[in-house]
This record gives sequence, structure tokens and C-alpha cells, in this order.
Amino acid sequence: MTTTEDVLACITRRVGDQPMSETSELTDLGVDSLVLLRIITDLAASETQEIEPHDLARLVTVGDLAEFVDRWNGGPRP
Amino acid sequence: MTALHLRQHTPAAHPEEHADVLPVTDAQRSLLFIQEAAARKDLYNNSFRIVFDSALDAEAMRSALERLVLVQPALRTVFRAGPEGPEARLAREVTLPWETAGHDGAAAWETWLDEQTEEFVRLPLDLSRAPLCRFRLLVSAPDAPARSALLVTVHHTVSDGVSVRVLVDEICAGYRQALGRAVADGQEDPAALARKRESSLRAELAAQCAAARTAVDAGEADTLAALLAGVAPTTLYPVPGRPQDTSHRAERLRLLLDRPQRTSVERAARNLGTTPYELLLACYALLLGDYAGSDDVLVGSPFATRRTVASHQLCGFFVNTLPMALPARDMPFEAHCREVSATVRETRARQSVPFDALVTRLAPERAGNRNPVFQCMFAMQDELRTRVALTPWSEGRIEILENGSAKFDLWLGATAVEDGLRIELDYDQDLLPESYARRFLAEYRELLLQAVETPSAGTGSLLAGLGARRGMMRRVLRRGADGRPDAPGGLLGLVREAARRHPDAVAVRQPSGSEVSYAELLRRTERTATGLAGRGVSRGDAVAVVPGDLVETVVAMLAVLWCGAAYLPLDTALPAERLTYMIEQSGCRLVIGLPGADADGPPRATPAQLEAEAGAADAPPAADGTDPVYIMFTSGSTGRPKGVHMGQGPLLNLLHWQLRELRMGPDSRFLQYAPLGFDVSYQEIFPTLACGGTVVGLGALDRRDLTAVARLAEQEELTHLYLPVAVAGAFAGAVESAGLSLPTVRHICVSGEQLNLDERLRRLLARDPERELVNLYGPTETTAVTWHVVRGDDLPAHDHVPVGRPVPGVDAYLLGPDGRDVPPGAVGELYLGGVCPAVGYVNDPEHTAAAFLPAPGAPEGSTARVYRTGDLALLAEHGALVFLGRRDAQVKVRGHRVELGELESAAERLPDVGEAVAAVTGTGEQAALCLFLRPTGPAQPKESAVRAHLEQILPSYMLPRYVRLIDAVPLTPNGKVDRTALTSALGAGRLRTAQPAEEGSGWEPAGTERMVRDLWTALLGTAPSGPDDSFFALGGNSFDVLKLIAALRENTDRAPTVSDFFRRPTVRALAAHLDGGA
Repeated sequence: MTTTEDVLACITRRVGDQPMSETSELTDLGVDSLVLLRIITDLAASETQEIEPHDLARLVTVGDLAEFVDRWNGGPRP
Repeated sequence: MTALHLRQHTPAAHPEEHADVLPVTDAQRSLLFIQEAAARKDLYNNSFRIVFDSALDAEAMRSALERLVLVQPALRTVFRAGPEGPEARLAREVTLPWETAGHDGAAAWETWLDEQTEEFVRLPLDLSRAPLCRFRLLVSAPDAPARSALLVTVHHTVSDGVSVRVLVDEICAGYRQALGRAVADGQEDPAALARKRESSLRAELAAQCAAARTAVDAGEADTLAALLAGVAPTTLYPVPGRPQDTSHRAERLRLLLDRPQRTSVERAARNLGTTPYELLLACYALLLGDYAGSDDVLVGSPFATRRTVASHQLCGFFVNTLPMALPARDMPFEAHCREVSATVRETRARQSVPFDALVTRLAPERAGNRNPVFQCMFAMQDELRTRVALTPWSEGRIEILENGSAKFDLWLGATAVEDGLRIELDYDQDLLPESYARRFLAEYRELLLQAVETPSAGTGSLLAGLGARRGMMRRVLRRGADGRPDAPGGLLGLVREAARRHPDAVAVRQPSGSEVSYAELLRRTERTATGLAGRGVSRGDAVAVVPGDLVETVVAMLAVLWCGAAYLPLDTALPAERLTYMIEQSGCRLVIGLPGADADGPPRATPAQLEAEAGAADAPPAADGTDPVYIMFTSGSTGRPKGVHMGQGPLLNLLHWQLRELRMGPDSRFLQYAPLGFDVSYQEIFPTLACGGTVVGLGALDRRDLTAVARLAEQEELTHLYLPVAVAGAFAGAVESAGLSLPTVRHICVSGEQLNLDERLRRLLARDPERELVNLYGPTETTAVTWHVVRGDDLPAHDHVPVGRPVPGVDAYLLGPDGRDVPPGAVGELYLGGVCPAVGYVNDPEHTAAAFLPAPGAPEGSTARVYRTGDLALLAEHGALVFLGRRDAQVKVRGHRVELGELESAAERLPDVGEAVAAVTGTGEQAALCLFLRPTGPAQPKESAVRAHLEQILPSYMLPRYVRLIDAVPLTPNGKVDRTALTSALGAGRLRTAQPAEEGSGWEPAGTERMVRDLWTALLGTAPSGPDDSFFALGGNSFDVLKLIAALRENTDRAPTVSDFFRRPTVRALAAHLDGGA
């Protein structure tokens, strides 16, 4: 699975199945800051990984989130 | 209690002693400080319960809790004071604080459950002993249906909102494990889990400490502090006597938005590009601003600071509460939301900044035990699962518990739950009344639902539409439709009717002097009116009345009304310039009461002359009682007094109210105490004459000799007195000192300024609980419009007496700067409408238009008006208006209304004075006017010249006690004149006098003169420059007179009486009197 697919799957688990793409805005999908935190936790590669909480505020779209997870995990996965 | 030995399960990661040391975060330090300082040690208990409609296996639950304490290391934290602040360690051996309690069946299960819960949540935890939690299992009676409940308390220093979910999950897992279902559920080995969690906890705490240091080093604390600086504290319900310290007692109010409403909120948040948290916060800020009367509010909110991924599996205190300055201005709601969102994001970007770092930078005034910087809090919890299944047959209900402790003045919480959105409000019961909090919560719901429905609406219109407040405002403040502003023949008609019913009763009486029956009063009035008509006086004219003998004065007033003219009371003690202005401004045709003639002024006549001139001529028909009644002058801010032209309607309405509420009738004997130029004199004379009672004058007494006044009240068996607030306390003291009881006095009315109930007044009322102290309020422009009764059997706890409720016929409005009603409990400016506004200022359309405005919300074409008082007030929850001071520079000095601007502009007429600032120092009886002068150039204004000039144009009560020179006028940060800085400098003796050293050098008093001069100087703080300076021109007042007489009594055996002193208010005359020469 690509990171974007991981992210889409995770969002669906947390807020329910609905049409979404990379450009979908997280708030439109019902992802508020607390839900976002849970999604991030679901997607973390390591439990000791730190999250800079305010970085999350900059995540607007599904694509932003996928990019964040990529950076966090050391670059895009194949 | 079960002892837990965990060492074998959780050996220290390192053998060294410090391995068990945990980092302490800044948020923990703050909480530890509060825990230490607060009297209530249960303030930061986090409690919840899980309620089951089934039995639980108590042993399995105990085992689950042991496991919980093992695998959640934060619970095993112990804190102690170290040399460099609090220290935290992990405990290796703990005793599980666990107990079970069985229901005996005496009370219903639910009742018992609540009683147990209430007691449990208040049990404090000792932070120096692990674990920092407590558990109690409640089980139903053996023969009753199986029920159980687990009560849990964890201290906030080691837990937060997210922790509840973690704890519940752990308890479930442990319970299943204890029942042997763990392996099937794939549970991890507890010891291994404990080691992993300890490591995670250490890492998380260390990460938080490091992030806080980094944020401060990067200047983020300074940035946040700059956003907060200058925003006034958000103070709710600022009634006088609001305690600085509270006992932290809270009540929680709740409401539930149903699922569709929650969906609307979430949808609106998405549409607005915000989160539900930000939308809910935006509504809270808006409503707080409305209630606090400010455009910006300070609201605290917890920010989740969990940094490591693993921390989301930990119980711990991983939040940082930060204040935000949020807007509450009038703008489209969607724009308001965007501003709130931006502030939240700005704060979140700096959420590692320790709160204490902000407190240090903002250095707020720390008064009392309230939270520094912010006192209103908003918290939104993660969606809370409200049901949990320990096993398939044990489903429990999770309930977050509160223990009735108030950490803030107001706390609003929002929690998404399965059924919708739960909104909770905690309010500090020492600061806010329950009805206030209930209305706040009801309005919050209404505002939120309206805002999500119409986000483009203006915030002002959303607030104006709130229904909860309108009922109270309408019921209490809008009494306009209940008035009774008319009577056949007007005021004179009422007096004539009383004369018809009680012709032989005494209408007006002077002690030891003249008195007149109603029949005679009417006969003389008719004759005098005939004389006036002969002089050409007719409807719409103004006639000055110089007070003299009370009978003659009353006859003159009634005769003026007979002609349809208005009377202008003229106190000849006023400076000639002021009298001339008043006569000219009023367009006076005639002056009654002064003999002779003045070529430059209107004709003059005594009442006797007018009666004589009438001869046997037929009396003119009495006016129909629709013409204005009087003209009374008040201080004007532009340097000229303003003449209030008062119509019949307001006065008739007040009269009807007074007869009813003061229970007046033919037996009433009302003292005529007020000078005729005060509108209070109307209330003493006309209602009494309208009900057939007797108006009793002071006779030869000096009204400032309060002991003599009290004796008169007792001797004359008076029933009603009306005193200025400024003398009420001293009067009560005089009654007591003279050993009087005033058994006939049923009502003592007071007005003029804020009434503070001192001990003398309390004693006077307590001695006779049937006696009523009636506090009235109303500017000259409306007459008295509100009243509040104080009785000895129900004395208020606080001295600041409300001004009360509007009298029927009066519409009171408390408006904010935007012209909207402020909610009950908020400070607004008082506007008075209904039947009470005067006609206007006589011959002064400009000032009339500025002060008398169209009534708010009046329909198109309506002539309804309101008078803008400039007074600030709030509507207290018990339905009384509370006076809170002035919007502008008008002050009351011992009951006299003084526009500081009038004194300033009078002083600035002197060529040597570049700028003048007037101020008041002291309060009540101690109030003294101060005048600060900035000279124009090198020539210094001389105090004697300034005083001589002011005496020419101002009444004596407007003369300053202190005159001081300043180099520049100090300004506040907002650019306003900083009067407080000037009065402080005066108090500290830092300002120079306007009295050159050489002035008065020719006067070297000796003997008695010297003694009097020294006493006088000590009392007034100003030395007379010569033996003939008037005590009053130097700013002395009647209270100072009493003090001076007391001081003289101690120094001589020939102290003067009050009347003596008023006749001789100079050092020379007083010394001569003391020496026996006068």
C-alpha cells in the first residue's frame, strides 16, 4: 500500500466510509484535531516517534497528511 | 487495602538510585503549587465511575486494579518538595487504595450510589504517597437485583481527559485477564508492559520538559504574552463586594445537544473552515464578551501536549492550559469564527510555552486566590465512550464525576457523546448566582444553534436576539406602561382637592413659627396668583422663587403653577454671576421673594406685595395642569449650568408612586429639609400637600446641625424624612448621640449619591425594624426613578446598597456602547425613558438634543424619548439595579452633582492658568475636590486669586479644597487624563501649592487665632493665607465643621455651635468668638 492508501484506509476506519481523495479537506471529512491525533498514532512507525503538535494544525488535506507521514517515516515508501 | 510489591515486576531500569526519578513538567509544577496553596485539597481530583446493572467479581476487579497501577506508572508517582522545586519519583511498593462497600438496602440503590459517590469524590489524595488514585467498589444488597459500581479518583497531576479512556481500557483488560480471558484476548505480560510504559512515561515527560525550554528560548513566551498584554481581565458579575477569595464551591449545570444538533455544529464548523472546538469556543467568547461588557475576552483552554506516539497509551497529565485573547466584537459571525480560529492556531503553534512563563511576563495583579491571567475556561474533551463491556454480560455506563469544586469563575466543557454533544457549565457559587449561570448556559445553547443556522448574521444581532435575558429585562426594567402620569388639574389640582377634603388640616408648618391650614393656603395661593396674573404672568412663563419663610415660599410656588408658569428656585447664596445666568437662561419674567427692583434684571415682588396687588380682583382660572412645573439648574460640563425644565407627567407619576410606597396620608408629617433648588424639595412638599399631610419646615435651624434636626424630628413627630446620602450616616450618629429614638419616623428617604450602609445607619434601622430606609436614585433630568428599601430586620450583608427597581411608569435601559441592551449582570449605561424624562434643558436645544434621545426600539414616528444618564449600573440577579459609578467626569461631592469640567473651565478662564484638571480624593464624608493647575507661562497662578475668582462664579460646594500646581497633565496609556496619578501625588505630598511664600506674610497670628489657624490647617491640609479667608472657600465642608468644633472643644471651653460657626467661618471671627468677643 502507498502512504496515501494507508492514510485513506485509516481515515475511513476512524470517521467512516465516504468519498475522499488527496485533495479532500480533513475538516470536510470530519477529522478534527483529536481524530487527527489518533490517525497519526495509527500511522506511526515507531512509538517513540515525537509529534510536534502544532505541525498537525498545518495539515489541511488528505495529501498534506500523507506527505507528513512520509516525511515522518523518512521519505515516501515505494 | 492490598499491599503491592512491584519491585520484582518492575525493577528499576538502572541500578542507580536516581533511576526512579521522573522529570516534572511545568504544568505539573503549576498544579502542585495550587495543590499546596489551596485550602481545598480535592480541587484537582479527577473522578469517574462505571455503573453496572449486574454483579462484578470483586476479586477480579481488585486484580484488574493492581494490574492498572502496575502498567500505568504515572499512578505510582510520588511528589515531594526538593531544594530546587518539586521532585517526582516512581514508587516500587504501593498499597492499592481499594475498598468495597455493600448496600444495606435502607435507601434506594441510586440514592445510596450518589451519596457514596459524593463522599468519595471529595476525599483528598496525598501527593507524597503513591499511588495517586483511589478505588471503591459498590455492590447491591444480597437480596436485591444485582448491581455494582466502580468509583475511581486519580489526581490531575498524573492524569488528564484522555487518561480516562486509557484507564477504562486498562481496567477492562485487567478484569478480563483476571477472569482468565487474557490469553484468548492476546494481552501482553503485565510486567513487560509495565517496563515498557515506564520507559515511555520517562520519554514523554522528558520530551515535554525539553519542548518547554525550547519554546521559551525561542521567544515564544514573549510572543504569546504580547498577544495577551493590555486585554482587561474578563470579570463576570462585578457587583460591589465580589469576593477576592472564594471557597472554590462550584455547581455544574448540564445540557445535551441532540444528535441532529451536534451534526449541525459539526457541519457548520466544516463549512466555516474551523473545527467544532473552535466554533464552540467562538460562541463562548462572544457570550463572555457580552456578559463582561468587553470587546476582547481572556479564555483559558487546555492544549493536548502529548508528544510521543506511545504517550497516547499512557495515563498522565499531558496538557498545558494557555490563555487566549479572543474577540467579542460586532462583526459577521463567520468572520468572528475566523478570528477565533486564527488565535487558537497561533496559540497551538506555541502550546509548549509554560503557563508560568506567561504569568511571569504579564505580571497580573494577584488579588485573592483566583486563577491568574484568566478566570474563564473552555475545555473540549475527546469523544467519550459512555458504555463499556467488561465482559459480554457486564456492560457499564461511564460517568465523569465532578466534586463541586470551582477552579475558575466559569468553566464551560463540551464533550461529544453517543447521544449528541454534552455541554457542561461549572460556576463559582461565591461569585455568580445560580440564575445567572443558568441563563448563561441557556443563552449559550441558543446562540450556538442560531449561529450555526445563520453564520453570516452579525454577532450583535445574534446576541440581541437571545430570549433568556429578555424576559427579565422586560419584567424588571420596563415599567413604562404601568405609570400614572396625570391627575385632574395636575399638581395644583391635587392640592386643591386635598384642601377641599381637609380644609382645616395644617398644610405647612414652621416650628415655633407660622403655620397655615389648607383652606388658608389655597386662599393665599389664589390671591398671589391673581397678583401674578396682574403682573402679566401666564402659561409657559418662568417665575423665580427666592426661598424664604416656608409658608410664603409654598404659596408662591403654588401661585406660579396656578398661572400655568414654572417656578425657578433661586438660592441667593449663589454667586451673582450664576444667579444672573440662571435668570436669563430661564427667561424669567419675575422674581418672587426679593423686595426692591434691579434695573438690569426682571421685576421683583414679595408674596405679600402680590397678594396686596390682587385686591378684590377675580382670580384667573387655574391652569389645567399640563404646563411645566419647575426649572432646576445642574452642573454642566461645558462650564455653564443647565436648567432642567420639568413637566407635570414625571412629577405626577412620582407623586402617585410616593403616596403608595411611602404610605402617605393625612397623618404624614414630612420634613422640608432640602434646599428648594434640589428636586428632592418637590418630593417633600407636593406629595404631602396632595394627601392632606403637613409639610414641616426647619424654621430657624441650620440644616447642617444634624443633632438639632434629629431633635426637631422627634419633637414635631415627623413621619417622613428625606436626607442627602452624604449626611445620612452622620444623622444616624446624631440621633444616637442625642439619645433619641424617632419613634414616629417610619420612612427615611435618601438620595444624591451611592448609599453605603455604615454602622450608624445599621444601628438606627436595627433599633426599629418597622422603619424603612428608602434609597432613591434619579438625575434631575428625570426626578427619582428607582427605589430600594432597607429594613432593620433584613439588613444586607454588603454595605453598597442597590438603587433598586424602576418605579412604575419608568422604562430603564442598560445599554452597551453599541446601543444594545447588555444582559442582566453586565455593566451598562443607564438610559431612562417612559414618562420620566424632563421637557429638556430650558432654552438650550443643543444640549437637550444631545442628552434626550429617541427611545431604543421605538417605532417609526414615535416621540418616546430616553435621558442618557452617563451613570453605569448593572441589573443584579435579585432584580435590583446596582449603581457602579460614572461614565464621564461627573462626580458627587456630598450629594452635590459636580461636573469636573465646569470647575476646570472656570479655572481656565484665569489668564495664568494654561490647563486645569479637577478630581476628587476620598469618598463619602471625606470626599474633597482638588484642582490641579498647569501655569500658562512662568507666572504662577496664586491660590488666593484662584479662589477669589472661583468664589465669584461657582457655588460653595464646587470650590476645591486643594489647589496645586503641576508641570504637565499626566495621561493614562489610553491618552486620558490620569486623575488617579494626580490625587496620588497629592496624597504623597509631591505637588507644590499655589501659595507663594510671601503671600500672607503680613499675617502673624498669635494666641487663639494661631490655635484656630493650626487646627484648621491640620484639618484641611491648606493654611489660610489671611485671617479673613473663608473656611468654605478653602474647601471645608459641613463635616469638617463638625470635626473642627470637636477639636476646638478639646482645646477651649468655649467651642462654637454649628450655627455660630457658619456665621463666622473665618479665623479672625472664630478666634474672637472663642475669646468671648463675639
